[in-house]
Amino acid sequence: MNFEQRCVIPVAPGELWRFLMDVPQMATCVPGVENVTADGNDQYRGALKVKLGPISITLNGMMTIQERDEGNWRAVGRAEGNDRRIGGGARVTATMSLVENAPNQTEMLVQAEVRFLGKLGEFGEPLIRKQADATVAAFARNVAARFETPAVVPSPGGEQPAPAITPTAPPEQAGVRGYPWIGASLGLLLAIVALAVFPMPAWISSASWTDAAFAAVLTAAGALAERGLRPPASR
Amino acid sequence: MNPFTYTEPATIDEAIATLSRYGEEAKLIAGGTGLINLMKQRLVNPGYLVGLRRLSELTKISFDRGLRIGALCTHRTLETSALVREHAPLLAEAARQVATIRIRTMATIGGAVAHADPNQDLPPALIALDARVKLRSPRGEREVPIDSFFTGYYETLIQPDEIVTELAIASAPPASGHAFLKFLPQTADDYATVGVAAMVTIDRGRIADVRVALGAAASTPLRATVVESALRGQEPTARRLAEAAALVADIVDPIADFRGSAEYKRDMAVVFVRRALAQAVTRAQAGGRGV
Amino acid sequence: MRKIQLRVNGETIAREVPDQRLLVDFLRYDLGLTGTKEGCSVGVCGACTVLLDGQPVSSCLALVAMAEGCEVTTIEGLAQGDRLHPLQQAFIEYGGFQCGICTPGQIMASKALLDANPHPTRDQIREWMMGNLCRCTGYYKIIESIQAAAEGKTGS
Repeated sequence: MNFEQRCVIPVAPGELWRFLMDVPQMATCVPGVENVTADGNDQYRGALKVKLGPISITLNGMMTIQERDEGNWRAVGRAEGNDRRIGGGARVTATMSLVENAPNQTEMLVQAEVRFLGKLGEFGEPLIRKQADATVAAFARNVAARFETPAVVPSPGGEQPAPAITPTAPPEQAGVRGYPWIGASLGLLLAIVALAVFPMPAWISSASWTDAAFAAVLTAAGALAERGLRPPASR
Repeated sequence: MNPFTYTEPATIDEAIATLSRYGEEAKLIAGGTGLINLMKQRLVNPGYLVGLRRLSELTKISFDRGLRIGALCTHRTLETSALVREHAPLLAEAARQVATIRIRTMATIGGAVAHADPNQDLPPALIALDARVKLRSPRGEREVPIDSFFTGYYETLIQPDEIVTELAIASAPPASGHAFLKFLPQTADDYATVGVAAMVTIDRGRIADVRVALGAAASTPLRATVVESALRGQEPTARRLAEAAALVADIVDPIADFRGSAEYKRDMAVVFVRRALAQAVTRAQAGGRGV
Repeated sequence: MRKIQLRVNGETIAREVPDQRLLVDFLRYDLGLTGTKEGCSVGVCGACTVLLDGQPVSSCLALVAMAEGCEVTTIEGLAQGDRLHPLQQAFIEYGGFQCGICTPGQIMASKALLDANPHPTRDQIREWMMGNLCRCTGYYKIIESIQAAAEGKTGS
């Protein structure tokens, strides 16, 4: 599936180029993108949430800038992501080109080729086209908005912003939320160290259950601390 | 399916309260034929399913200067109901052609409208009938014309804490005729390659009113206003009908799938709009709503 | 988990089940009534057809919780002791099955037809039974069996 979007942004190409090459910054202009982190080597990890009526898809994956041609202000990026839960994924190759068409005015052209795989490939391609079109258009608009003046975006059919990504309240799940196990492990480690180094006061019986209880208390305290408190700045 | 909690509220207000309480985590389930399939594929994973079985007040059909159909009426009820067959035969005919008998005994009209799959049969029929959707939420009741109800694939104007309660259909004037054509080149139980619902009213030899709607022709059910404008006030000659039907090619935006390419669906939309108009006109000229 | 109570083939059944238990799985695994088959799991093939308050449904798409307080009839509920239901007898005499996997669904669907319309035309039979798929017979014998049962032309 191919997409193409153009827009005019009131800023010089050089400045726009610098912004676009800053991947974490640029990614925030894509509606539904979350948690972009650098992986080294021009690679970045992140997630893209897409909502289609009652269906919510989270594509987890990576993106990278494959080609950079600063002289011609042309770059090629690749991204791929999977939603394990539904067994589907997407692969995107996008080319961004900038052309200065007036002083402090740049036309940005985004051409993207998207392939859907697995379950998404079964129903995704035709059905997500409008969604994807809207996303690319919103990306262009968001980039323009960064430069604080509305861009002139010729919209194909209806000035519809990309569907808002409704942040779903995380369902109540059994199991660990956040990383209290880090705190718990630290607590346990502290307990072991403390027990090894410091003798128990005589008035506490030396039965092993007190050692275990002491360890348990510190472990729990560690878990609670991790969850509830910030680590002290000095650490 | 992912695990969930199933509750069956005893009243509409209880159902709405449950929706409000759990927000996006809760989904209503009526017949379940659409939703359970989505859940089996893990495309939809609600933590709470709110079963509507006990809301018997939503299973009623009545006629009082217009047809009022409870949202929990099943397709099977619509196809067999004497009131529906008399006052909205287009709807009975559309309901009869949906899927298989097993789906029709469970799937409801409210569920069909809320599910908003553009390939469905009831939505275009309801658009051709100028139906109004009644909804209830903690903010009270509201009524929405079905024309504006569908906003995207699986998307409608329904709020997360809202429930469809009723479909209201005004009586067609005398000398009205209907047609519902479902093009099924593959299997009889499938969604349409293109579906057309049409209502025509004739007055003194001219088309006084016409409504045409298509299913499986875009990412929502589609009202063909361009066809309607070309026909209002005109004599329903075969040439006029064909010319008007040809206009539909410019407004459809079919999704290519195993039921047909976009081009094929576009071509068939023209053919079936023409045939549906001819059938509706014939019925109108035969002097009545006709079954 | 939830406690449910319903009637299956005339018998009152009470069980505790997870909320997401499907009716087909309840019948087959919780009750051991394996006459009902699961073919496609998406409600298309009809192998899982049972009657819910007399209406044919896809048991693979129904939660057993949705059958609370209802009457479920499966293939096991048709015979009276040793006496087969006329439809069962007809399917045997007229060759309405080969491998048999679709047959319980075919019979339950046709029972619902004859309950609603005791003397269907051939076209009415075909239209009603359209949703029950068969890979073996080519459908002719199924239609003949149903017609024979409707016309009382069976040996039972």
